[in-house]
Amino acid sequence: MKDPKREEMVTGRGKRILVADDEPNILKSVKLVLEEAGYQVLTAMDGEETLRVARNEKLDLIILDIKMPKISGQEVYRRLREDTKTKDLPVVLLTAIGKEIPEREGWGLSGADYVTKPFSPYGIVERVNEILRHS
Amino acid sequence: MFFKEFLNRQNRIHLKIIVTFLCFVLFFAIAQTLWTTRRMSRDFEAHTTNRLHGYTRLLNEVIKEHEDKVSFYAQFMADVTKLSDELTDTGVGRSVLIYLLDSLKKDRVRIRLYRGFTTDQERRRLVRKGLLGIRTTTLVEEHTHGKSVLNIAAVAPIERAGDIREVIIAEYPLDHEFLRAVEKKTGADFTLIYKGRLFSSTITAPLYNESLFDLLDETLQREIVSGRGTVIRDVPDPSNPRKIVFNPLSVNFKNLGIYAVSESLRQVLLNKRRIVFQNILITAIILIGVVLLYNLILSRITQPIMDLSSASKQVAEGNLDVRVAVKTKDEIGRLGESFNVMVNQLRQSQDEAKKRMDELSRLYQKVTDERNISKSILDNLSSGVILFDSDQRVVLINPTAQQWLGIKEGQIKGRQIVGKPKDPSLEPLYMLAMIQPIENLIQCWKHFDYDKGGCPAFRSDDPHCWLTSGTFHRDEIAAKHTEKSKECAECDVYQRFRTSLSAKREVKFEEVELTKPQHRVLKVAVSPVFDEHEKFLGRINVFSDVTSEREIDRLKTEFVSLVSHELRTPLSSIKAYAEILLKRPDRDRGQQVEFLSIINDETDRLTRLINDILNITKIEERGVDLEKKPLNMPQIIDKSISAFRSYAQKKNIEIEMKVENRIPKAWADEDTLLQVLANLLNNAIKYTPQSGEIQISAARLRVDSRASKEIEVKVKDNGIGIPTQHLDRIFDRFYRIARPQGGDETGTGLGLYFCKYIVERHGGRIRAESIEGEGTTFAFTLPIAKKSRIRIKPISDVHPANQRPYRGELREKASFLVVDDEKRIRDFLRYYLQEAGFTVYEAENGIQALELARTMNPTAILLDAVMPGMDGYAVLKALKEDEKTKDISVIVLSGAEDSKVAMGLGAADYLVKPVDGETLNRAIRDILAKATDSINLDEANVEA
Repeated sequence: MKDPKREEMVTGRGKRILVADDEPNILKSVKLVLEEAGYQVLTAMDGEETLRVARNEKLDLIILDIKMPKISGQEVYRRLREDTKTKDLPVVLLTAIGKEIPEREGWGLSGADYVTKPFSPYGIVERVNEILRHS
Repeated sequence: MFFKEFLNRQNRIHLKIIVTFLCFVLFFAIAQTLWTTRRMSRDFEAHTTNRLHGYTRLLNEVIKEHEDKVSFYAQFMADVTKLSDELTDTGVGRSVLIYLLDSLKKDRVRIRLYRGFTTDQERRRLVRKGLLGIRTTTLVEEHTHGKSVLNIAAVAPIERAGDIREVIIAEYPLDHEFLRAVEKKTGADFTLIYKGRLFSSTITAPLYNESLFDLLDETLQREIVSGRGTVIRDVPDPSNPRKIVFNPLSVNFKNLGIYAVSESLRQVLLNKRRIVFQNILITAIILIGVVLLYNLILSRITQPIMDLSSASKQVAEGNLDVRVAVKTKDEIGRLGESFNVMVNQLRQSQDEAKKRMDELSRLYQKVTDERNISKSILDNLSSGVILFDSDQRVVLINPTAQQWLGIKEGQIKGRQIVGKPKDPSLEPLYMLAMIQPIENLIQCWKHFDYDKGGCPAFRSDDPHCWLTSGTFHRDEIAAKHTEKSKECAECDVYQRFRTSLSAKREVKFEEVELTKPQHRVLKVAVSPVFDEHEKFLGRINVFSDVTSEREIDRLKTEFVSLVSHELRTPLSSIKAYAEILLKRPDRDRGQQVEFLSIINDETDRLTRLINDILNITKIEERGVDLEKKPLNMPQIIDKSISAFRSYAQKKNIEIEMKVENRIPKAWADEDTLLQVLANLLNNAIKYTPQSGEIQISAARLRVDSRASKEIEVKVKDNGIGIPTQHLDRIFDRFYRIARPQGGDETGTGLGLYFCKYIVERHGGRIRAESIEGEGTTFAFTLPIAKKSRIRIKPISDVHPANQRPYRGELREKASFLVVDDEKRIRDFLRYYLQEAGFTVYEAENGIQALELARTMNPTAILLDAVMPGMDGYAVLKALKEDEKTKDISVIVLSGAEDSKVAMGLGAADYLVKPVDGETLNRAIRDILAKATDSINLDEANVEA
């Protein structure tokens, strides 16, 4: 963090991002690249935890895996949108099945960003940067 | 026969007629008899009376005659007497006298000369008697020999010198003889009564004469004598009735007595009897005549009619072989002929009708058969078929359709299926009815059978069809209607309409998803139905159940999406860390190693995943070939545990095996069962922390404390447990529980799915129980091997044709000693070996075995490891220590798999029980091969 070279790369400027995924390795990798980009990263491993954190913490963005235990990502997304506190919170959805099936089958995920697995961790960072720059 | 016919019920009418007739005849005969006899008796009485009067008169005349005769003789004798005095001496006087006396005798006249009145007193008596002085006749009562006779007497005085001193008396007796003479002339009976006494009678019966005086009392006698005249009386004697006429007997005009003339009425009775008899005779003759006549009528008229009647009855009952015999040429004969002709014709027409009926019934049978075929096709069709008529009414609905739609034919037959149903159970049917053929042409097709008069151009109400058929274009409809209708009559509009609509008779397919009566996806093919005249009859919906196909499709999609998800997850990690490493190659070594090992682990996971997926796909596609056999559970469990021993030791986990005593064998496939146990054990070790405990147990499953036909195997750990909400899903494909602190490798979510699949394929069940943080128990059941499944193969199975037989010379020499405490096993082995041609010795314990081994020196010994007293290993040791027996090959048979001890002691082979024929065969062959080698070796040595 004290490395000046790294400082340049830090674009996050301390913004808080929640990463929710039940796969520890994926969670770890996303957390790593986001932290390296200067974001403050919180993690959750299931739907319940995700909602709890989302409600209790001040967040700037959520990266949400669709397939999660307890409460599915899809349901988490719906509840986030219903809650006034979180309804405008940007969400990036991680999915292994691509964009087509959820859209075709009307999962009610309109207005979300999709990242399909396997993804590039740095691609996610860029996407997050992009979203947060606009907001 | 005649009476039989009378008694016959059918002839009752004849009987009635006959009886009535006979009654009439009898009545007539009786009346006639009565009438005749009465008239006869009346006539006869009158006649009798007349006759009696006649006889009376006759008797009076006869008496008068005799009166005159007597009178004449008296006078004549008086004259003669007077003369005789003068002619006394002349011959003339004598001859006259003789002649006179002769004639007197002949006429039964008696002459007496009464002379010498001595006194005047005597003279007066005579005068008083009327005999003196008067020539007269009278009745004189005479008593001679005690018998009274009544005579007609005439007295003629002989005057001599003016003084009458002598009289001549001529007498004629009114005696029996006289009456008999009269009777002879008349036939009547005569009786003379004088002064109340009976003098003579033609009847000698005293009863009669007595009864006469009952009728004739003194008063009546006086009256008759004094001039009352004739009196008629009946003698009421029932045995001999008579009629009697009483008359005064008048002599010289003086009534002096009474005579009775009677005639018997017996004749009348006889006549009466004769008439009755005659009448009976006549009646009988009439009866016989009637009967004969009846018989004649019967045979000539009635019998043919009765024959006809019975024949017509038979015809009516269907017997057309009946003919009546025609005997006469009269009306009845002609009737019979006509009857025969009629029956003949009837028979012919019936034959014809029968032929036609047969033909019809054959035809009907054919039609019925065809209909039955169609019906059974429809009934057994696995597709649903509903036929709607042009008005949307259900004409036909086959059982499959009824079942799928949850309705009964009776519910909807003839109902128009339009709009919404009132009965919610009919909803599925209405859903099907909603599917219309292409472009809803039903209305248009209905127009097909219109002739030109019904040309669609005239039907301004149905522009839809014109448009559909292309007969008109949209803008033409209103404007050119009139024009087109003219055209219709002349040109080919109508034809075009038909052609274009006919072309649209395609089959339309649509899928309908029903929720009632159960979830079902139906693929419906709707086709219009036309008859040969192109008339639209309706449409037919044929539908098949594609629920499972759609379900499979859905599962396939789901599987693909799951698989892609599952594959992408490790891939994501790999890509992420690879990129992280590439982007910043300057990371410290610790991080580099960490990331690379993540990549390595995830690659492994990916590989396992792909393998599992391939495995599962293979199983699902082709199934597993389960080679089921009786499995010894302790062995199997032991085997599976030993495979995981090192893994468990790493985590310092103890695995305990707990098997019920005398547990029966399981009926299962060894390989897959081991895989199931491996999966469960792997999970147990993975989710159990350091120094945990795992227990595998097997026991016969008990239901309500009664042993069932199943074994239950449990794998129990005291690990982290499974959260309750996951318990019912953990056997699902790819289902995994997120475990951040999970083991050193990540599961594929296919292991338990595989376990479930295999256990169920064995006919068992699998379940999981768990308390989070305390541990998990997986339990599954397996069926028990039935006794009959125990593999003691019949020998014919043991060495089939393709198997190499033992070499002959060896078989001759080789012998076996079988040692086992269980007779069943000894029997099996002995049987097997003897069948193969070997000599077999048996021992049931170690001592026996050693002795036999020494004395018999068998080629090999089959030795049971576990025996009471001296066990197999002790025997083996003893055998090997003895010079005499140490070279005998010993095959140890054991329930345990551990062969080390036995082999260490010098066993030639080690077989695990249960031993099947094939294993035994192989072992024996190996032993024998060694023996042969040694023999050959020996021989070589000898030669050398």
